[in-house]
Amino acid sequence: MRTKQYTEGIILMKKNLTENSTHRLRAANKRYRRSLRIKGPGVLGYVSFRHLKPKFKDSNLTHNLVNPTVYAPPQLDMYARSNLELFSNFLENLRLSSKYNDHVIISFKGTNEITACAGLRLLAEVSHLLKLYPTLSFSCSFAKQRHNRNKKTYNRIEQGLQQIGFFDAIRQPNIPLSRNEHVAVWQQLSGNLADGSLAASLLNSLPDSISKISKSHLYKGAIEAMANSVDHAYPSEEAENSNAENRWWMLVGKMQNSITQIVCDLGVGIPVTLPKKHEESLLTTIFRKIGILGSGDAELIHASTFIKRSRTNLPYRGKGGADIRSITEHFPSALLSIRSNRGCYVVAGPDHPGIVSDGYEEIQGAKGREWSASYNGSIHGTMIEWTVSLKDLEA
Amino acid sequence: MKSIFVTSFSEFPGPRYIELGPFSGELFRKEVLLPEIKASKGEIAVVLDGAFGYGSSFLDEAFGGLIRDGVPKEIVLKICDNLISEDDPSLKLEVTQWVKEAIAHGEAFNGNGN
Repeated sequence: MRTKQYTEGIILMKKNLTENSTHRLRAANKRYRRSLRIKGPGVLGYVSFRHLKPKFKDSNLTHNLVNPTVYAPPQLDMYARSNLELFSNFLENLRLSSKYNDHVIISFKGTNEITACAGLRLLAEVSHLLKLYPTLSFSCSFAKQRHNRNKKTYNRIEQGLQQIGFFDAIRQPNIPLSRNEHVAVWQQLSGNLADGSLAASLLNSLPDSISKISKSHLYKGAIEAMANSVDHAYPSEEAENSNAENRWWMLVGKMQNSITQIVCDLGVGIPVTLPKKHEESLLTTIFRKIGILGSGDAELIHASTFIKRSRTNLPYRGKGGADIRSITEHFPSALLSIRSNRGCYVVAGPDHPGIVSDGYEEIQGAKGREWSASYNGSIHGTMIEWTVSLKDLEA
Repeated sequence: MKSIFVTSFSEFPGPRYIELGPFSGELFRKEVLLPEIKASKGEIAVVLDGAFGYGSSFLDEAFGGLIRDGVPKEIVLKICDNLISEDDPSLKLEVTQWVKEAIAHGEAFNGNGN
């Protein structure tokens, strides 16, 4: 079973889900995994260094090797654990290819599904890479579409990427959007300051039926998530991220029955900052108090939602975690997910139907309201996402 | 008693500190609250209504920060009592909570002989 958030968070589902679609999807995933495996060890397989850095003349080099193509997985998704691992592998490929090439082609030919969360993370990655390597450029290839007479049609992956501003980010021409009432409508923004007017502009794009107080609660979570990205996600001592400009990316989307908001940063991640910011004794106390066993990334993320103290150990700093968590208290139908590096923590409001998702484990003693997951691959950053039903927001 | 409208400062209250973004709690405290408290001897009513929303960090830094800046707790608690928040009454309780936490921390700090 998949999460409700997963279902509703999908920007664009693959074409018609037929009875055979699950098998096809599995087969596509298998093919993709195999394609990674047969290339040999390492995320880039046997693609050698010289092929990745075509700065010299070599008559044996083919065009494809001069411009390495990075293949996106069949499902650009971060909700299901297995998909997330494939997705993080894809990001790793993208990072390495971008490091050694001036032009990278991202192939979405085998991709038939894209979720908002993964779309935003991909957008953040390419934006970051373009800043990191000023001579870098990207282009994309998609599965061929049928042409309606003289009018070109665009597939749903292109449409999804267009909606989140992906083509703007890679400086490619935009495509016309075809509006479909069954497809979520997304608005995206990014910045390097916690600017409330930006968060408000996204929230103002939501339907007027949403009450003012509901928008103020969404604003509260958004401003704290943005501030956390600016303040905590990129500690100054992390030289590796010195080019990152403390940037955050935010997406707000309206589905048929709910609103989803996602804030993403490419910082060092909660599991790295938390132990640096707090004394071990404090963490141990919190772990004991809320009954956390283990000290993996998921457990540290869980603990961070209870911590009020900051890295400077001033007790009057860092109340953002509690604000973000309070979304599930204000909105009983809400589902909050915090993904950071190799872990994920999910908490549901009392009226949320609950989730049973592949790869997620229920946290003991949380009355079926909290879950966690650990991943083999890191998402290299933090993504905070909450979904609230329109019913709650209109109340 | 003088009314201070947060919306005159900004409709979009920001983060905790000035360096984190525009219209921060720190800026509101330094540029609005402290001068007004000084001018009106604490006789102010802060109107929270009309703004898009408030992060806890903004409220804590703006009001709890008064205690840390050395404003007498009686004055700050009076400001809490006089807060006007009809749009979201829970904000008044929240501000009071941050102020009481700041008072408790300050007393504990002083009590330790620091």
